[in-house]
Amino acid sequence: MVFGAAVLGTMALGAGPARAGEPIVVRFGSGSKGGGYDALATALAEVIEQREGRVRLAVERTRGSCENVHKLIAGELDAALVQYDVAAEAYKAGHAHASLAELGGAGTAPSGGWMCKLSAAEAARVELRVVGAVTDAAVHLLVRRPIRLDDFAAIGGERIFIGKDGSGSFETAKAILGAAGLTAEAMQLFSGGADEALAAMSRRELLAMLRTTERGHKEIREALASGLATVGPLPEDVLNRLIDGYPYYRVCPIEPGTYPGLEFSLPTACVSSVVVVAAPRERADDEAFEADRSLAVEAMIRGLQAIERDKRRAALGVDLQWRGFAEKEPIPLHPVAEMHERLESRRAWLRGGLIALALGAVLYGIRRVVRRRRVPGAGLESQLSNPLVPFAAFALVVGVATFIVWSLEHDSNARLRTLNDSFWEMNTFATGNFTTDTLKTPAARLVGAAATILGLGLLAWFTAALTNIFAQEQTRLWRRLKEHLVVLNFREDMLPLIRLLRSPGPNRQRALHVVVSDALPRRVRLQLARVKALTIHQQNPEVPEDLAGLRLPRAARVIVLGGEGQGREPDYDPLRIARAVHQACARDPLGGVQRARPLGVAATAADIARTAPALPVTLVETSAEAQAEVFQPFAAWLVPVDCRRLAHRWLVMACRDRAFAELFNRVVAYSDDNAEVYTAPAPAWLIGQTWRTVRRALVQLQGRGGAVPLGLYRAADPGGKAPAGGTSHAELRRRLLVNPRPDERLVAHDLIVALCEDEADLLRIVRDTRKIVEG
Amino acid sequence: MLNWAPEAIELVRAIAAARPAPELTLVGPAPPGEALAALAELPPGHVSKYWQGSASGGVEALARFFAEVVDLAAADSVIVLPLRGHGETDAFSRLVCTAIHRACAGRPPHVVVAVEDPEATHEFEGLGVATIFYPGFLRAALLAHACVDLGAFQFMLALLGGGLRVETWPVPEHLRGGLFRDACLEIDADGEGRPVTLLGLFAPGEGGAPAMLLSPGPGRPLRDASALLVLAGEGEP
Repeated sequence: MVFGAAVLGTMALGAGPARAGEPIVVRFGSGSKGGGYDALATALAEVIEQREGRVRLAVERTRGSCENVHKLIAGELDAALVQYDVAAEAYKAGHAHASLAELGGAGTAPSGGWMCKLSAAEAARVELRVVGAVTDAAVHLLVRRPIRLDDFAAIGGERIFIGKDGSGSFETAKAILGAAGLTAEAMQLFSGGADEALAAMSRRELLAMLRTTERGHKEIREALASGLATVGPLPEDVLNRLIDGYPYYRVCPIEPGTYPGLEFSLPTACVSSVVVVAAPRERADDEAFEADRSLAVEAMIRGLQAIERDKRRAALGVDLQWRGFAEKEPIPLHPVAEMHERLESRRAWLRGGLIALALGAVLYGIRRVVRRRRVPGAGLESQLSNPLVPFAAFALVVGVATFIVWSLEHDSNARLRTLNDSFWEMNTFATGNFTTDTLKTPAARLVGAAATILGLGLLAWFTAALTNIFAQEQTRLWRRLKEHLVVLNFREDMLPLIRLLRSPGPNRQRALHVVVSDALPRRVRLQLARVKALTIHQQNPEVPEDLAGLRLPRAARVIVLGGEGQGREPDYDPLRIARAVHQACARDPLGGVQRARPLGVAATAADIARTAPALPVTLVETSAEAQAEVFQPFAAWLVPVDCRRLAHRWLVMACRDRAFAELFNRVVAYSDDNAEVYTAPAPAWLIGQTWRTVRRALVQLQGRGGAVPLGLYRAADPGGKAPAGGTSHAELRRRLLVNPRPDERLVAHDLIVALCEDEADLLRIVRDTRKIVEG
Repeated sequence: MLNWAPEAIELVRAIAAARPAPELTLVGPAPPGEALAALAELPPGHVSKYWQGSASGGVEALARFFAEVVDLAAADSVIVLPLRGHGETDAFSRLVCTAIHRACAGRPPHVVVAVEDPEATHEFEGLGVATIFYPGFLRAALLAHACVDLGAFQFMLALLGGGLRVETWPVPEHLRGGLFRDACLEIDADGEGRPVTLLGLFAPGEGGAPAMLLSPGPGRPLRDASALLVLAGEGEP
């Protein structure tokens, strides 16, 4: 629906505020009949009318951007579609005149060369505001085949077409010629329309055309397909001078495939068309006028958004944008448009936040799964020595820097038109070759510098990790000093212990550190050296300094073996070794170096309690009759094991219960059957249940081999605070209940003790009890 | 207890502390005076007899000594200790076991042999030895389990503590057609109401001899089971 200029019975915005209920008519400048502006303006008018608001659009056909801007300034139009360079020039002219007026020189100023022959004094009469950028166009340099034009100076006296005088395209072409050091007046310009220019080119009467139109334009496609012309790039120096002088454009590529036969990206300049509203300066304080204007702008924005969403109107190419469509955007947004921009920005941040949250949740979930399943190499130490980590980080830095720099500069930097350009540039930077030549803006240079610094650091890390891999022994040692097993004062007859620790079972993958004395026979050392993941240390276990390298606070268990007392080896005393363990842990950076006791001061229970937190669970082989008293100060972290007494007990039990010996051997041997003893935490649904219920649930479940529940391993203070000293110390304070009463109720932190195939199977069976207990 | 020496006094104490306390007869190379002096510190009645004897005089002589003097065939269990200072220790123990076998006419009581070298185990084959014990393996097993799971370690200690009993029970007839799961669900207390745990069963193994099956899985049929293996004790009624 196209309204005539004179709409009876309504009130146009320029004439004054509409009375309540009266339609608000916006005089809207479009373009020439059949052109893109005309089609868009007509569609906008139709959409606004369909929405049944007070606002109506009275579309006025014009000769294009120049006439529109003139009429806006003259007050003959309320809004119009204007190419952004033309609108920005008008805005700039108006403000230049206002500045001059403040200095008192406006009246004597000579007339200048603003686009569309605008006068600064004329432009100063109105305030222009942008409603939004709606379409985008690229400058096409069409050159008659087979000529290739790398320099505008090569045009010489040949005729060229740069558009109709008064159109935005004409003004853009003039600016480009200016950037090439030429003037339109000095050129042989073709005076007809675009169709006629193409016809003239086919008659070889026209060398080139400069057209500012949407990418993929039908006529240009046909011209290229027919072999009449080729589309060429704007020279880099021209582009740079254009952007420097007229930052209302931006550098953009015409992508490969846009036109038939176009296989490479062509750098050119792009300019957007915007909807501009003009308000006479004298009505700046007219609230009623502003209210009507706001309603009108709101209606136009909603109409443009509706057109943007409407697939049937996709040919209009509307892509509503508030910012970022030009290198610089001097014209402020209308307040209503600003409000829309803020809303969109908030939505974008919210969406980004939700995505980040979801991503974080996924990563957290993956981390938990990796930790639960104890995936090898998932720990921080493994990652530090993994060269893939710095490599991945390097790729991430390059990727992020590529995107940021491209976002910052692709509109203004001819050398960074595409992501591909930016990617290779950032690769150069991240490998330590920073230069200020490529990047233009300070923000992009900052990103480039950050990429360089990070890249150098990551490359150093990568190199170090690789070096570390080549130094296998060091790497192995580093990896083996966490959750490791330490055997102090090893002797020959304890080789079965090493065999058991390396037999199939949970300890097989754990690093094993064995401290041996000088007297250990060479043949035994050779045997030990063949054991996988075992490191031999020849040290005095009674000297804390000698134990420092074992990082005892990080050990899963420390085993202190007693001496044989037969004079074959130094007779290290388990108690003295235990003291050395304590001292070594207290001095370790992880064990509380700040609380370490000075050497030579006797250990007291108070001191031990003070330094207890990082002490590993330590098992001491002893046969002393007074063991309980001797080791009492260490009771929080040390378990004395009187092996000789236990051997006697074993013999007694083997005589008393005929099946005992076989049962014991089968249980401890880590054989293939389903008879190893493990504990599993009682899950929430079993807490409060009776042992009868829990037992019945467990024996019914198959798992891989089934489980036979034996009893409970109960915390000393169920539900209470964890004791000082951490989890290991808490473990030592538990008590075992074998064959509990059927009505014994499970409490928090109880562990279920059972015979089963392996720990994982027990955990699975315990987890599956939920179906039975809750079902 | 054979090959007993005064250094093994702690073992005598351990046996004496067992409940029910067994009647203990000691046989060793030490002169009776020396042995009785060592045993004197024990409360009276813990050791019923001490005989001096060893394999130094030959297997045949020792076998006659076991049969005629010690009446070894009447023993419930025999412990053979390693005797140092008589050649290769485990070889010497093997001679003692041979003597036991002959003294009991091929039907020895429950014999438990403690060895010093685990590689010597196979040498006792065919001598009617029920169990061969290597203390080093016990130490290793206990310490290794303590490295894995302190709960498992405590269970080992409980097994050795004497409060638990490993018993063999007949299979109830009404469970013959059932599964191990059914037996687990039904057998949860002994005749006096004390809680017990069914650990496994005995079923014909290689050669038809009953073999221990620990935790055979809930779906294991009981039809061929000759007995059930039960862990009793420690629980309160």
